[in-house]
Amino acid sequence: MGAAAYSIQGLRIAPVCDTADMVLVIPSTGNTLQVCRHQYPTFEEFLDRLEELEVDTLVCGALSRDLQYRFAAHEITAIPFICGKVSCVIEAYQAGVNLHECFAMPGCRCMNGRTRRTRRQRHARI
Amino acid sequence: MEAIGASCSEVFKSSMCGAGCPLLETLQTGKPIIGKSGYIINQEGDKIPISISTAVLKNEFGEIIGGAETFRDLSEIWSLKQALDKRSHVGNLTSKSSLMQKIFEVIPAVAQSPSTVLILGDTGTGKELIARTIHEQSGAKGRFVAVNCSALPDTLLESELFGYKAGAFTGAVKDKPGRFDLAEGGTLLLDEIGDISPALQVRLLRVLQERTYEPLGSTTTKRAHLRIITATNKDLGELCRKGLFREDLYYRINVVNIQLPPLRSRKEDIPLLVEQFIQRFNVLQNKQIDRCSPETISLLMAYDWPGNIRELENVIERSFILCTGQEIEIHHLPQEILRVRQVPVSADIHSAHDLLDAQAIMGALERNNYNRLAAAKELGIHKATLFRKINKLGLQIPKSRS
Repeated sequence: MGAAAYSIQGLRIAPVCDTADMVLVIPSTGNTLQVCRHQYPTFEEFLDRLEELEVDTLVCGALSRDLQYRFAAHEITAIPFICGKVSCVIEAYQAGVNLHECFAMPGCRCMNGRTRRTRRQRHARI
Repeated sequence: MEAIGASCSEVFKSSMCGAGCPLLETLQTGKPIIGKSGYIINQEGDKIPISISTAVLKNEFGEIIGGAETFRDLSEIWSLKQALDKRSHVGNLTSKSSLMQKIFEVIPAVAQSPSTVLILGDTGTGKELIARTIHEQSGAKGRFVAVNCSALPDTLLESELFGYKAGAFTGAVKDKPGRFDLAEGGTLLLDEIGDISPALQVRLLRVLQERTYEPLGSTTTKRAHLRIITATNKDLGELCRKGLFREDLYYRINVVNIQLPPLRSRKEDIPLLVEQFIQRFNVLQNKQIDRCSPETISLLMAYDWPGNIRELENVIERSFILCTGQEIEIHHLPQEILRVRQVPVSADIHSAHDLLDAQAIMGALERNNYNRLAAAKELGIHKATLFRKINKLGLQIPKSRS
């Protein structure tokens, strides 16, 4: 299992991942670390850094489709439209709770645990 | 119901939520904000362009009791604006030059086709950026991978491109995917293609023809589902004539050909590029530089830029290190650019034009041994006009050597 990353703003999940600056990376083993997106000249280099840290899941707030595809191209599955305190979200995710049942952003509950899946993910499930 | 009690940023999902919250600013300053642009992300992941206006709510005693925020959907205006901008923008590329606009016109069509593309242009003209834009416009779900073919020796390049199996050679302790593997479903840019060896040219030709390859030490063939873009600053036709580049490979990679103009042929883009670099370095170096002074822009416009956009970027980066104020001044520029300063520069909008005039006149005079009549003929102007310009620009001309 790879590392999980959380797009954060202060102590909460950042409401908009596209503009968020900070990502908290929690590896399966080892220390938690923060990656600042704007330290990297391009978004591609930021993605390379996440890949280096073996991130395979990103828990975040609102996420545009373009960006989700770019994460998917780096084998990072996004769990978008999540809100709440970072500590609670991490605890729930690590306990295997469906985040969309407890931490969905207002107006996004009807997704009922479904995230927008990319073609790659759909194929992977088949 | 879901919105009640929730944080407004989590309800609106706007690009301005967080550090740039307009409502917070209004509540802090007491001043309304009108028409601040941004976007919100809907549940489908679409970006909806909006403008936000804010105002404070006051009670009967004039005390601030809250704030109001109104959103305006700009989708329609945005689509009209995009239609207009399409002529000067493609992806992250921006240019006002007619030469570049011709390229912008073909990029969307090229991106949608699976054909191999050959990008030609001097060093530093942005070949990789064009390749990346084609990849982004293509909607390919795989990633963009760039390889500089001249940066690696032949044997290493082969294993880098095609990957290898464990035990293929000493030190190959485990399988390593190649760049073809990494770019699966996406785009592979082979930069400096003119520098690869004849042996690798043969292997590459086979991949392009058969769309299959074998990693080193592997007995199984892999299919390559990706687009290949090649780039070079060399004249491949000339290399073919000299027998240094295989003609069949040249024809195979030269399906669609994009020729990038050097920066000296698109000087009208310099202010635009400078602005982009300033924004970029402000973020990277945590500075607050607003712009270049008009005199600095004039000098940048007068310079010939043999290193093209890369050189311009380096000059701006250097200026950022030296600049402690909010404006990049002439003294922040390197010597080679200051050398073009042949006339006193004034801070008006005509200074760039004057510098270009002075440079053209000095060049023509030097080529014609300072014979003013011959220089005027070369410039296509009357000798009286030349004299008038020399006086106006205050150029110091030695006497004719002939």
